[in-house]
Formats: sequence, C-alpha cells, structure tokens
Amino acid sequence: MTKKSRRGSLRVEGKFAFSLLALAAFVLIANAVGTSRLALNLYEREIVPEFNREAEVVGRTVAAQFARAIELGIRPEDLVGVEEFFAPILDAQKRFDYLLFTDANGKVLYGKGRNTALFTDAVTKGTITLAGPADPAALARGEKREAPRVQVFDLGRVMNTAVPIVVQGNVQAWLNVGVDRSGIADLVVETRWDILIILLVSLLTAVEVLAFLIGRSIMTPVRLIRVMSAKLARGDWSRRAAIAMRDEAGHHLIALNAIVDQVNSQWRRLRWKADELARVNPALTARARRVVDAVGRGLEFFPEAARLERPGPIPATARAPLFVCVFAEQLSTSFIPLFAKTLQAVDGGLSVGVLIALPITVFFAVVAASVPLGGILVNRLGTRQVIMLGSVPAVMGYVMAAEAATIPDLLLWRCVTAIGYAFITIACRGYLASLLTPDRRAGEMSVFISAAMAGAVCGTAIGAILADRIGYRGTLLVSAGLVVVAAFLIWRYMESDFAAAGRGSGNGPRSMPGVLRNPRFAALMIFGAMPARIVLTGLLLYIVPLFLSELGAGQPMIGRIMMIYGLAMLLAVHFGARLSDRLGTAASQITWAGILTGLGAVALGIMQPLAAVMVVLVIMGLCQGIASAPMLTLAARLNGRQTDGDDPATVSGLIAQAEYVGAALGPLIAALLVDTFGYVHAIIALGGLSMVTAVIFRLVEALPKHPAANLENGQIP
Amino acid sequence: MIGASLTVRLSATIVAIVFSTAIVTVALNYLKFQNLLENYSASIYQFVVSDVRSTVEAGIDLGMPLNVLTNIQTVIDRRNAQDKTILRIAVFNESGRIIFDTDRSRIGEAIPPAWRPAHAVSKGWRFSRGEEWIAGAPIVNNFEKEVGGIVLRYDPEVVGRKTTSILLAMISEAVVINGIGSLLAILGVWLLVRRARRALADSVRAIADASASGARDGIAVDERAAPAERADELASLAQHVFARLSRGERLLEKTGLRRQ
Repeated sequence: MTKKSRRGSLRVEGKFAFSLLALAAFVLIANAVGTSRLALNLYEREIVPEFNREAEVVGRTVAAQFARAIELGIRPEDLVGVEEFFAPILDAQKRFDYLLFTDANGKVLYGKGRNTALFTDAVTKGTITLAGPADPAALARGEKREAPRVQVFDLGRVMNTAVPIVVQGNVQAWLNVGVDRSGIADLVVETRWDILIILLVSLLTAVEVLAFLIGRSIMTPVRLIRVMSAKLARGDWSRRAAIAMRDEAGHHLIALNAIVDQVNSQWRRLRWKADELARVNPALTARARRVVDAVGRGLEFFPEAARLERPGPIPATARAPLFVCVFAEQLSTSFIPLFAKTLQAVDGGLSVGVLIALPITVFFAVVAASVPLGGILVNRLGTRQVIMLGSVPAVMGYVMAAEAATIPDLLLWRCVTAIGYAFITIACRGYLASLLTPDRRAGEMSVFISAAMAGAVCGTAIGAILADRIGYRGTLLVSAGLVVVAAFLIWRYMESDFAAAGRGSGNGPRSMPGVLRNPRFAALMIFGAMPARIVLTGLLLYIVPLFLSELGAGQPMIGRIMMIYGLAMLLAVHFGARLSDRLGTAASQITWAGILTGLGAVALGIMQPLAAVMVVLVIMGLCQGIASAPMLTLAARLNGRQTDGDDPATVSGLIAQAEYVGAALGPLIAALLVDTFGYVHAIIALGGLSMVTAVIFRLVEALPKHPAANLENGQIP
Repeated sequence: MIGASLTVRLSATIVAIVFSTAIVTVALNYLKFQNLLENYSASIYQFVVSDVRSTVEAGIDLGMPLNVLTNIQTVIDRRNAQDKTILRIAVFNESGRIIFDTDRSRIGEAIPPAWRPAHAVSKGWRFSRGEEWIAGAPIVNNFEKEVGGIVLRYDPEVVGRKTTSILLAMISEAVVINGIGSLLAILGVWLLVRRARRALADSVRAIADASASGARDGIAVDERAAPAERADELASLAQHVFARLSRGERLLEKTGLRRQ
C-alpha cells in the first residue's frame, strides 16, 4: 500500500473515530445540561425550604425569649441589649444575613447584620406586610381572627422569615430572620462545576474507551484485511487470517479465509492430478510437473498446514490500561498531603511539613527504584505478566493505605503501591515505545503522554470530588478498584503472543552508566527531566493542595485548580511533539519550557495568591507539555548515537527513571522551602530552580561537539 | 470469538459510557445533597441544644447545682413538644448519669458512651451512626469546668425522606435523558457504520460469488477476462487464480486423454 493511500485510509478511520466521539460527546453534553437543570430545580425545591426551616426554628427560639420579656411587662421599644443578643446568633448561623426585631407593623426597632436595607425597602414598597395586633373593634363584632403564623418573603438576595412574637394571643412584635440566598447560588455554581468536571472526565474517558474499541474492533481487522489483501495481491495464498471477532470485518475475513482455503484446495487437487498422471504414466511426469510449476509460478500456497496471519500489537491495548492506572493513582493526588496531615505523626525530629511530604517522596523514590526491576521482569516475562504482577501490590497498597492510621503506615503502603505502579507503567510505556516508527517518534510518543495526562486530569479532578463526598479512604479504595479494571483489560485483551512487544523496556542498571557517559544525555536527564519533575511534584502535589487548603479552598476546588495543569499539558503535548518532529527544535523547546516555567512563578509576586497559583499551573502545564515528547525524542536520538542504538523503550525507561528521581526529590525540597520561606517564596524558589537548570542544560548543549552530534534533532544525520 | 456486530458493539459502548456518567453524576450529586441536608438538620438541632444549654448555664451561673434546676425538665419537654422530629432530649451530669430526660424512664441511667465524644468539645458535637442521629453540647460552669452535658436525638427520617425523594427525582430524570440520548446514539452509530457495513457486505458477497463460481465452474472462467468482470479487487484476484488453476487442471486432463 502506498504512503498516500495509507494516509487516506487513516483519514477515513480518523474521521470515523471523530464522528463517533462527537456523537458520544453530544449525548454526554445533553446529559450534563439536563442534570445541571435538574440539580438547580432540586436546590430550589429541597434546599431552600431547609434554609427557611433553619430560619424558622432559630427565629421561634429567639422569639420565645422576647415573648417572655414582654410578658413580664417590658414594652418592645424599651428592650435593651438586643443587638448584643443577636451578635452570637449571627456568628453561629453563618447563612443568616440579619436578625431584625420590628414592631407589630414591621417598623424596625433593633437589628444586626448585612443587607438590612433590603427589609426596610420591602416594607416601604409594601412587598412585606406584617399583620399587627387584632383590631379590638373587629373582635367585638365577632369577626374571626386568623392565628398569627410564620411568613416567608423572597427579597431577591435574601429570604426573610418573619416569626411573630405573640403575647396573650396578640402579635406584639416580629422577629425577622434574613437568610442569604447567595449560599444557594454558590451551591448551584459548585454543583455545576462538579457536573462540568464529570462531563470532562466522561469525555476524556470516552476518548480512551472509544480509541480502545476502535483500535480493536476497526483498526485491527481493517489492518488485517489490508495485510491479507496485499499478500494475496502478491500471490501469497499461504496464510489464513486470525479472526478475533465475528462482526462485519470478521465476516469479511471469514470470506477471505474461505477463498484462501478454496484456492489451496484447488491447488492440492491440481497437484494430486499431476501425481496421479505421473503414477499412471511415468513418461508424463516431467510434463505434469511443468504444468504444475507453470500454474504455481509467482504464487505461494499452504506448505503443510495454513499459517495464521495476525494483526500485530496495537497501542490501544496498552494505552487504555495505562490511562486507567494513571487515573487510579491520580485520584489521590489532590489530597495525599492533606490526608497525611490527618494521620497520627511520629516523633522523629522532622517537621510536620516534611513528614507530610514523605508519602509523595517515598512513593516516587520506590517507583524510581522499581523501574529497573520492572524492566528486567518485562524482558523475562513480557508486558502482560508484569502488568498482572504489578496490579497485585498496587491494589494491596491502595486498600491498606485506606486503612492507615499513622504516617508510617501510609508510607509503607504507598511504597507497596509504588512497586505495582512502577511495574504497570514501565511495562505499558515500554510496550508503546516498542511500537514507535523512527520518523515520527515524538508524535507517537505524545500518544503515550496524552493517555497518561488524560488519566491524570480525570483522576485529579474527580478524585477531589470523590474525596469530598466519600472521604480520603473511600477514594483510595476506588483507586484499588480501577487498578483491578486495568488488570482485567490486560488479561482480557493483551494477547500473550504479542505481550513480549514491550521487551527491551529494561533500562536495566547496565544501560545507565553507558548513557551517562554522554554529557548531553546526562545533562538532559539531570537538568531537563529531573528539574521538571522536582517543580511538578514539589509545586503541584505538595504546595498547591496545602496552600489552597490554607487559603480556605474546599477539596473540589483544590482538585479543579490542580486539574488546570493536566489540561494545559494535554493541550500542549501534541503541539510540542509536532513542532519537534517538523522543525527539529527539541532542545530549544526543553530550554524555553524550563525558563518560562520559572518566569511563571513571578505571578505570585504580582497577583492574588489563588489567581497566581492558577497562572503558574497553566504556564507550567503548557511548558511541560511542549517539552515532554521532545525530551523522549531527544533522549532516544542522543542515546542511539552513543550506544549504537539502544531501543527506544530503554531510553524512555531511562528518562522515566530520571523523572521519578526528580519527582521523589520535589516534595522534600518544597517542604523544606515552605518551612523556611513560606508558600509564596517556596513557589518562586522552585521557579528559580527551573530557570537555572534550563540555562545549564542550554550551556551544556552549546558545548563544542562532534559535527554530526548536534542536539537539534533535525540536524542529526 | 465475539459475535456482536460493529453497530451493536459501538452502540453498547457509547450507551455504557453515557449511563456510567449518569450513574456517577447522580451518585455524586446525591451524596452532595445528603451531605448538605445532614449538615443543615444538624445545625438546626445544634442550635436547639445550644439554646437549652444557655438556659441551663444561666441557672448554674446563679450558683445552683445541676440536679436542683427542676425547670430544666419543663424546658426540654417544651422543646420536645414543639418539634416532632426531636425524639429525645437528655441532660446528664459530670459522671454521665442522666438527670433530666424527655423519656422519663431513662432518668438515672448512664448516657450511652457513643453519645459523648472522647475529648471535650466546647462548641458541641454532632454525629450520625445508624439510627442514632445526635447533637450535643457540654454544660460549663462559671469556672469553665464541664459539669455535664445535653444530648438531643433526632429523627433520621427528616433527612432520609428528602434524600430518597431527591434520589428518585434524579434517577427518573437521568433515565429519561439518558434513554433518549442512548437511542440517538444508537441511531447515530447505525448511520455512521451503515456505509462501512454495506461496503464490507458487498465485498464479502463478491468474494463469496467468486468462491462459488470458482468451485462450480472453474473451467468456464476465462483467466484474462476475470479481472475486468469483478468489481471487488480481491474477488477478481481470486477469480484470476481460480482461472489459472482450472487451466492447469484442464491441461493435465488433456495431456492424460491424449496419451490414452
């Protein structure tokens, strides 16, 4: 198949995948809009009356005390210290805007709180009419008097609940409780955010699930049809297609197999006839053979039995479990330090700040340490077995972390989780890296990064909401469940024959010294990959949750803000990869990403902290997105030159290891910086680190080098 | 080998995603509503408790011991009568023995340990455990010494009824919205896949035709004419090979006959 026609068919399949996704998105958005509208209605129907009930209960209690005073003969206008009496009540009931004591006709005698003008305006305009004491003349005429009751008035921003103060059957005064309706509006906004987050997570999940399904159900059989067609066109009738599904494409393959069988059967018959002819009349043997040779020239048939043509490994098989695993791990991202803070600490001479950073540090340190072992195991057992193996400690770690009572408990079980996480991710990463084509490495590696980032975005955002609803421990159990799902996907869909595709992701210890002898590769690891992760984990995983929590943000809001990083990265990663593939600017991209990340931290000095954190995360996400795929490409090229072509999986594993070491150092460095300088200056300091290391990387890259070894990947022969 | 068609598989996946999303949305919203309603209810009962507490503490401030403040029984009875959702109010002394209770048969008993927090909480406490929904507060004297406490047990059904109705409303609406959405998705998938299905089906038919004619009458097929007669590339390829094989067979047969 020509390059052009392949591109054309890929476009058709891409269009099909896009149409499917658009369809799913349409239904999901309709669902989100409907649910949002419903939530709004439910707030009005169920929560607003609850606000009013609270106002009524409190109002009745307070009114009863005024009634007692009036019963004792004190006139409403002679009461003293009413405002002082109201103050602690308003302080305790945060949703109350005001408490107003009015005479029987609604004239304000005493009041405390915000927005009291709304009430006086409403009385003046006649929106509020409060019934005064019963008219004695009317009573004398025998007219029936209506029992005074609580009245609720909607004043826009405030719901006013008027409770009558009744003495001897007469309304002597009214106690008005103003409930702030903006609380309802805030709840609606919060709920809409939740729904939006769920929508986003659903869409990203839909992309991954549909990519997996399209990969397996459409791309794979279509590719097999193409391969078979090409072989048949070349005259190779020696293979039957391995059929995995009996759908439309499966039926096509079945028909192909049938015709292959039929051709082979006719070929066998021809040979049998030739043999028979030669047996009956040996003089015709040569002639019969000539006929058979002439017919079979340029054609290939079953040798003894048919060989099976398989579709080969596809990225979707590893991409989907990787997405689920990263999703699972990121569920706890927004609260790990906050969770550690709630656990019993041990007295080891460490500050609380450092202690709560340890679970993140230890996790990444163990991941870094487990990567070589994971690589060796992938070499020996294959991707499928290693992922299945890794899922055991991962699940156990999440379940036991959910039961942790002390920080050492949490550390231990995060270590166990880390081993599993390392095995799973390195196996998936190696598997995907082994499918790369040399001319589009960055572009294809971005598929891996975007799957991981999509998992990170989904996990961070929904994890925060889950933690808010079911708690930290419940969320960790959900993570365990997701790892089980990932293991199931691998067990069910990754064929063991192909599972060895990830072999070579070893990056075993023997590879490390060799590649580090290359100063440029060492610079890339030490001043490129590592600082990026130091800044990422130090800032995003440690400082942001604690800082935002200190600023009063709730868990869902922390998750939403943290999600910004992943979204920004997700947006930039393909752009960065394409830029690097087309212009060969990998090293420049890495340098400028580091410098701009550092400059982003300046926002802390000129903006409000909350907005500044968001700006920093957006800049960091965009910069790291632009630099991530080129980093892998550059590493592969540099390493390829140095070690006579280690496979890309090995290089991706080495970069991963450097990143994990950086990720382990990040929270510790951040904790020490926060302890010393506070949150704002710690962020600025991390920004400074990013800039300095980026400049050093650039300087190393500018060192005199072998003419052929220019770092700009476009210039490497 | 899995038997579902592409349309069924793709539709089922989209419907599963849509319904999973709906389940997550409904579950998370339900939990949010439940949380809010529980907090509102608890805050209302907490206020009632703090009101009773200030009455009791006013008596203690006059120098009277807790057990002689007999008006407390009247106060808690009145509060209990005012609100049907309040199941019980009890006042206990420092040692945890109940001295006033709206359920008089309990007076003299020890307060259940679970109703009191392990550590003193000056602002009060609240919790729900199974059927026991409790709001409480300590009673503190002039010297800031805890001399007892008040606990109020309220009806969990107050929240339960509302959350159930919310859940039912959300589920019914979600089923309607997602049901319609799913039908649209199935229709959309069917339309999307239709062309590909047709193309594949035509191709299968062409191959089957080629296979059938090859088997039935290979002798009649003209090798050179075959490619032009078949629209499907693979089918024509097969016809070509069938024709070649048939010609070979005919040659062998002719050779055999001639010699005989």
